[in-house]
Amino acid sequence: MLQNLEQQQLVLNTLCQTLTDPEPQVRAKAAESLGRLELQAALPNLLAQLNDPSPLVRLNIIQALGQLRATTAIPQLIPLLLDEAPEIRAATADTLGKIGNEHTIDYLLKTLNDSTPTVRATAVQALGEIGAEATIPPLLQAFKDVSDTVRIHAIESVSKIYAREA
Amino acid sequence: MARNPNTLKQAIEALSQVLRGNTDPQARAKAAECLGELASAEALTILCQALPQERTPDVQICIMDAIVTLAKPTSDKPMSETPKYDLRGANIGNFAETIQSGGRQDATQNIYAPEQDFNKLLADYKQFFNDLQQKYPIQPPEAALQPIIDAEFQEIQKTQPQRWQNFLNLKCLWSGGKKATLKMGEHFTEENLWGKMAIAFLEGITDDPE
Repeated sequence: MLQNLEQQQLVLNTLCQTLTDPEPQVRAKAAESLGRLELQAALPNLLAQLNDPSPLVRLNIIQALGQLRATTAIPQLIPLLLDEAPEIRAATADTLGKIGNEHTIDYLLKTLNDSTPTVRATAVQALGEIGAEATIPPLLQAFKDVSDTVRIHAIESVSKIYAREA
Repeated sequence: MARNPNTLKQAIEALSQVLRGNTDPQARAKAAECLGELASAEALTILCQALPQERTPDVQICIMDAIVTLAKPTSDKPMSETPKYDLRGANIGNFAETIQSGGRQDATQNIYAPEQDFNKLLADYKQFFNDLQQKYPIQPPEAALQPIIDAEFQEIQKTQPQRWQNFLNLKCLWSGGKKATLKMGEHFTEENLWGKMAIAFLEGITDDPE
């Protein structure tokens, strides 16, 4: 439907403007919409709101960055692996799994020590997505994690890495 | 299937007025949703213009959903290909009895019907009811629906005789067993009064308008 650049610009401007709406759920929806539409030009606006006070907004922005495959956002995403909200840390790990590279591995490995099992499990999955053989030893360590979910995802990730290597 | 541009324009204008001016947030939200189904560049512009003016979060969210529906490449299909209310979900019974009670149709329309493509006729018929639904974004009470549909049918008879003939041909094919080729379900008839009326006409439960 975005038949021309003018329309694309209109949608982009409208949604980016809504990223600063007073209502958190509206800002969150705007971020989600920009991600769903994969509007690459929204990247600066999304990054500008990445420290929104609402966890829901931050969450949707992080997910949108993953949908945009925004590798340039990696430096700004990494600090969010230490966000106070576990769902933000998990979403960040998930997005880094989609767009990350070998430079993000160290940060994800540190996340394997996160206090929240869901975050550790997502980090394990992200490492499996990135698929570097160097992450096999720490993933094998994760086989001993106290959380069933982490252990299962660790097994899947190791399997995935070896399947990719084969 | 090509849409009547005049009807589409009228529908967009009416929905735009509801979106901009109605005091009921539910009506504005519904208008936004309907505009999102119209696969029209004009509808997209209206939604983008309405969003900064809207102050009710639920409506703002509906507007954004509609914008994404219209703008997302994967959902970029003409409305006739992605109808919101799909007649293929119709769950119709008493088929054999309907043939008998609707025999009058068979006698006059079998001349044309076999040559026509059933799916094409059905798509146009569905479009008619989709257009009606957009024309009346707030669904009238059940008792008011039949007079509205009769009036619209009469208008079609008068202004688009070929289209009206196509509806009758569809009714004939429907009674002649073509509906059996559709996947049975219940969504259209159970959840939507317009759908019930659409099926009732095809089934011969309601008479053709005089």
